Amino acid sequence: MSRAARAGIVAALGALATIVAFAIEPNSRADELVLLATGIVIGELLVLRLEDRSAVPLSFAVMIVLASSFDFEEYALTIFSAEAIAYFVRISQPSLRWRLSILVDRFAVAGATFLAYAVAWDALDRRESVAAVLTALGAAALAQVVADYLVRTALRISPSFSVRARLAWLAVASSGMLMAVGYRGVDGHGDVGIWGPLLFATPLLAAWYAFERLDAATLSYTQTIESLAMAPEFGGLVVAGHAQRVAQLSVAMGHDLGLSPSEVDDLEKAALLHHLGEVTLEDPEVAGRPDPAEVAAVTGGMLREIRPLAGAGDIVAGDAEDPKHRLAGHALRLASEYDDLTATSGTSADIAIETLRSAPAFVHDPRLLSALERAVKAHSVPR
Amino acid sequence: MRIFPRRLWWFTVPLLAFAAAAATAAAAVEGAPPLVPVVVFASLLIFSEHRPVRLPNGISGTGGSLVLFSAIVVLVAQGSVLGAFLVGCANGLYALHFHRSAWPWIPFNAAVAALSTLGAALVYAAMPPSFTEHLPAAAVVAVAVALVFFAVNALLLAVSDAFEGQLDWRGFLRDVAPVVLQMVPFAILGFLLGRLYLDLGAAVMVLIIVPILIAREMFASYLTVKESHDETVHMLIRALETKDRYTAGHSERVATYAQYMGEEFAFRPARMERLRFAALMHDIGKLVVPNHLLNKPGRLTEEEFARIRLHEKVSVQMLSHIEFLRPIAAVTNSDAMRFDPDDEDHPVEPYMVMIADAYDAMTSTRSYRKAVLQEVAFQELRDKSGTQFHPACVEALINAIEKRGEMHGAGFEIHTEFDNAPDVGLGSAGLGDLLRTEIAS
Repeated sequence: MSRAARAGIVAALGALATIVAFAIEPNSRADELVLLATGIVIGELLVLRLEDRSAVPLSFAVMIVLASSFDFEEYALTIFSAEAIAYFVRISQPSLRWRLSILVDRFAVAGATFLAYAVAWDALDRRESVAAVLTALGAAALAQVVADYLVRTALRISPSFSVRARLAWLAVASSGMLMAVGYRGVDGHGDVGIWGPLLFATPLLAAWYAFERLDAATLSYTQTIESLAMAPEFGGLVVAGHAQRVAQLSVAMGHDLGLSPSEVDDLEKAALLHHLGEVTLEDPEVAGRPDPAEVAAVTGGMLREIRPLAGAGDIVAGDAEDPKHRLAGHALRLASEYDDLTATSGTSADIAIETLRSAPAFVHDPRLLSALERAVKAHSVPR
Repeated sequence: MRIFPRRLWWFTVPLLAFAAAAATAAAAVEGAPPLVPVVVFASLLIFSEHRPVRLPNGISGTGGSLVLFSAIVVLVAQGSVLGAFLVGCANGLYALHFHRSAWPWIPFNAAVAALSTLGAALVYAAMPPSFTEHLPAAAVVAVAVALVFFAVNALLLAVSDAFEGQLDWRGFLRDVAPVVLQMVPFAILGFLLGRLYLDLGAAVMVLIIVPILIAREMFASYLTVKESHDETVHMLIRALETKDRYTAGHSERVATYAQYMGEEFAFRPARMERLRFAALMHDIGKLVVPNHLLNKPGRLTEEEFARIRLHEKVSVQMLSHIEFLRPIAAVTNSDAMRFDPDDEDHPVEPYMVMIADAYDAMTSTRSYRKAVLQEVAFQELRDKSGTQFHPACVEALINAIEKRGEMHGAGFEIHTEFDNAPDVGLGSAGLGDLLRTEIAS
């Protein structure tokens, strides 16, 4: 069952529980707590996915609402109940360790949210002004980022601070603050009650939808490129796994050489597809092995025809005017030669690197050779 | 950009005069509008309208209506319908018109938008406070106000179309219906935002605009990645066509026919997208088949045939690597695609691609055989319906083609490289049609 379908079921059950809570205690805020707890469970299912498959859950926005409007007992009970339910609803997580890590992260973030809001609110003398309320809510949102970072670091789950991650955090923080302002109001003004979190979640849900579409499209695109990278291998033109290994090495070298993220991305695509053009050439059985320069030229030409792969085409062709693309092209050829030596000829990593070093000085830049050596050591690529 | 039609001036001049009169009357009654909210909302509106996103249903969406409805709530509460009118004017300002010196469009659009906003603001101002201060009644009012805005806007645009002599009511209503639906949630949200602005000041505006802008940026990134994906798949098709001349346009046509069937089956957009990609990539495995075998005009040896058949397995492996195509990766495996009436769990897409592939194979001239007549191709599909082909898919394709009045096959081919092809024959590429029988015999 998809996450959206599970979220729909949780929403239906949550609505039912809210009606029951209202029927039992019409003069308390129990029904609103149930509804916000439902929001947390749904927010655990609807997450803003990042490039590295980590995510920022929408539940963090609801935590800000709760922290700003309820006392500690109510807050703790709601968070605990909602996260316990979410633990079981979040069935698609890969392992028990992973699910427990997520649970630890959520409790840490929830604690930090409440603490930061309470401290900031007290420090501002609980002054009911727009500036004071927004400052305290901002402190709670900031505390979530810090707590999540610390927990992930402690659990050795590398935290992401890419542009996409920063936008995700910003969307959750601003929506959480708006939902909280709508719910609690300021000095008796602007309070739209439970409608605030419900309706002001709309932009965040729109952001979630956009993140989901982007994530799915990126995954499909990446997998299509990886799939195309397999064609020369299936055709027996290169050894199995060559493109993936060269891509892994090239990316490590690209980082080492100080290429920008977009240049490393181009380099990775170039490495995956650097033999693709070979499949369009005449069969080696008929015409003999093609010249590597011809393969590079044909592949580069194919990739350059596609706007988003033009950078990769420049790298493969090796005749780009951009010095960064030329450098990336050299890194790609070196990684490919290294893989040919180790995977095809069975040469050990040390001997392969030594062989490459012993080539005439004008063949391989010593800077690239050092980057290759470090990449091989650091990333435990096949040796 | 469309040139401003001369006849439209007959409508534009009275429209401008009416707008000017309305603004003058409002100014006489209310006095000058409050400057700060007018400037804030007008700036936000222009900014929002210049950052549209093309939604999957083809509509360009912006956050403009959200800002506009907030402005109506705020300015009406401050007693200035004229202020709402002026913000509405900003809704008609587009940088493109200035850049391209399309001057007549600027007053026309501004007047239409301003009068639509004025109509909505007047209706909102007429509502008793008990209707506008509390939810959920206020949400109903917000929707009503949005509908008034839309009705005035649609009416003015319909009249302008009539002046141009190109009014098509059906098409007009079909185009605008999704826009109305899109406007409703923005109207409710805009109402709430307006209330917050009144109670708490302009700072809260930032809190709602930020996630909307982020959503917009992410959606734009999604569209870019999707476009890149499309371009990459088309590169793949070009690579295939480089190897195998007969396939020129084949993958595109198979995708088109498969989509015809998908439409007949009322597939949703996501499923249609998956079908299109699967159809476009159904021959992906041919990348590993040597060129001389693909283009061999004569009879294939069994060894050559086996080598070509390998491409189906390769295709399955390659498509299976792409998660969203995995459930229908069998589109490339002719054995798996043979219709089995007992297998109810089999997804229908592979059958569709197989029929589309077979139909295009029959109606295209290849190196080894001329195209057959469309009726012959239809008959062949119907003859094998229920045994080789999925019956409902066969009828769906034939219905779709007949409905469109399209003609394919002998006599209707646009271009073929194989003018000297024999009337009947065999070849490497005809895996979907006669080859199997011939090998068996």
